[in-house]
Amino acid sequence: MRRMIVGLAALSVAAVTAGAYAVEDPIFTRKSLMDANGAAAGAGGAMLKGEEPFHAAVAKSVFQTMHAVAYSYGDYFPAGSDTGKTKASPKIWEDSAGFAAALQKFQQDTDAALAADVKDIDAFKAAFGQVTSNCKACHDKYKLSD
Amino acid sequence: MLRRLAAIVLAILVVAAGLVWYLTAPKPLAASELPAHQPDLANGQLIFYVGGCTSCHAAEEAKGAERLRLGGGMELKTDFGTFRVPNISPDKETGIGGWSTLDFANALLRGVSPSGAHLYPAFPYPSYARMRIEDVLDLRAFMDTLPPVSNRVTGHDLKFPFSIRRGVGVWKLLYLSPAPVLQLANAPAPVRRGQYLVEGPGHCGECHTLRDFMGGLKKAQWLAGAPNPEGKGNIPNITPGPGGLTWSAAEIVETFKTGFTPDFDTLGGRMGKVQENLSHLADADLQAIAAYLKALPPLPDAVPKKAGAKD
Repeated sequence: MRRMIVGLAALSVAAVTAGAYAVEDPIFTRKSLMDANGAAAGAGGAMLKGEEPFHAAVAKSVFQTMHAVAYSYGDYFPAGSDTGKTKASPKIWEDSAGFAAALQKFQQDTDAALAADVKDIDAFKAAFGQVTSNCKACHDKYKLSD
Repeated sequence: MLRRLAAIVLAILVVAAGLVWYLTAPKPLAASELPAHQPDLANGQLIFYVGGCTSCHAAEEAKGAERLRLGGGMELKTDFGTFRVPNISPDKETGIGGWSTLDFANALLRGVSPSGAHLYPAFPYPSYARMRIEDVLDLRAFMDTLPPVSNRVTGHDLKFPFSIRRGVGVWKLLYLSPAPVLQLANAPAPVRRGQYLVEGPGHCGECHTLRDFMGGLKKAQWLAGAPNPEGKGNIPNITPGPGGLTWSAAEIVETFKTGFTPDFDTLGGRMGKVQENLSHLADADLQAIAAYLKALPPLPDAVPKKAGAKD
């Protein structure tokens, strides 16, 4: 029990530290979130292309990752974080309502993908296609291309 | 003696001016150079998507069927001034519905308008000049099937001296040639097919290759990247050299089909539209493009990358 409390304390310290880091360096944080999103998409794509066998647990992990990104990503675009090593378009701040709407659509699509609780490759393909349609839609408007 | 010298100099100047005027004249095809040809609409559609006509000639945000409405009007803001993309829909009044097949072939292969004037190479005819004339005729037949759009587009707004159309004749003397860029005559068939698609209708070099001060492509730096002609940043090096494309041929094909890069980023900006066009191609043609890109002379980035702007 004592060990568990120490462990939990350590975890919460780590979480607080991570939180502080995220606030200090939102560009690094949002980039890391998008890297996680890309890695999840890579795992999903590999199953769809038949490079990896389909596993329901992997499918769930893919959507759960994207779900976590969808609900946290928008928090790391504070005013002033439009300059530096970033490809974030100024439109994120100029058209914040549009950016919020794009994020909300991504959130809803990950909600639906998780609710679908896919058990086979065909169901996965449909849900994955819907969720990843958000990538280009959002990048085209809110990410600089070079 | 002095007067005689002046007369000789004047004579030389007159002859030289006449020669320049002659050399810079538009050189259209003659009607007799058009082959008898039964148009192939499916091939015309393929060439339409390889050529990327809709990327510039449809409305900026066009999606789906709207991408086939080629009413023009988009503005390309460059160092030379603002080019206004013309209406190339089959509308008789404001589009190119009134053009003859010869007019159409002359625009694509010679950069010459129906009235016999030079077209500006913002329209990528220096690449289209490498096209087979049969492909041009098929393209025309396909474009005749698209909806007419009534939209009158005003002229370009260019800086001096680019505003003088005759100057394009000088430019053509230096840069316009139907010859392929690379010597690949002995390469495997897919590489040669890819070369035709990339160097000709695909006109990839128009953005991916560095230009000299006169706006001509530096062929020694072929496809090794260039500054973005429309603003900030660079167009990437797509040779297999340092800083260039590290993707496998299969990954290149997959990227063109899906719009997702191998690390699951998306192709953006103008390339996003190019990818939408390329997704209409058959696998064999995408594989040919990939085979050609892998066969390119590997070159380092023609423009050094900025210190890691990546998100």
